[in-house]
Amino acid sequence: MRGRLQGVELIARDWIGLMVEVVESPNHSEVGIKGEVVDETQNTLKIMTEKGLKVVAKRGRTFRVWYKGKIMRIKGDLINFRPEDRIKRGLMMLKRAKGVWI
Amino acid sequence: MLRRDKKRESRIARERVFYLIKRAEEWKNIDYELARRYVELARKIAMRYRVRIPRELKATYCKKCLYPYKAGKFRVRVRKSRVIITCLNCGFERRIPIRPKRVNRKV
Repeated sequence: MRGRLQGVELIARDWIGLMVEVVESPNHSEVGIKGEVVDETQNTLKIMTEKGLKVVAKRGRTFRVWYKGKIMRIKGDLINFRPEDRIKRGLMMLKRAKGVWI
Repeated sequence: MLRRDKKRESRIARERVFYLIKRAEEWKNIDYELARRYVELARKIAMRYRVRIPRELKATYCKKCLYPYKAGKFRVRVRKSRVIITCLNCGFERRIPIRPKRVNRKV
């Protein structure tokens, strides 16, 4: 599939402050965690839900993200970098992928 | 060869830095520790992508311990023609000189 990729910004952008829901996870009790991201590390997102702060690993999970009025699904493996590395390494990773235009 | 798009990177980095410092400002009364983390992240991004943080934003947090200044946690005094901002968390003093307006001597 060729063409401009949607939501490239989201990989380089700040996730702090976004609404996020865990859609897929190898751990069943994590599915359905929904809330605002308050902090981020290399391997985890810290999500503030109604029941309190939850720490969810990025690898192997799929997230649903509300961003600029759109809803997107993003694989956690794509953002598995340190938050400050994500701009450089995230964009380069997409460039290396075959058939992706950014 | 694949090249980095540095213009794009620095544009995104600038957005993120400003956003994080603004957010730290909003959160400092809710969660002080988290607000500090936002400043720390903002500075990390700014240093890596060489984004300059403007002076008015730099003056919103302590340079040493990175806690944002909030009411009751900092002191501002004018001494010896300097503004002296003291952080009451770590005691670090930041001195900002006040320069008198330049007078044109030739006139």
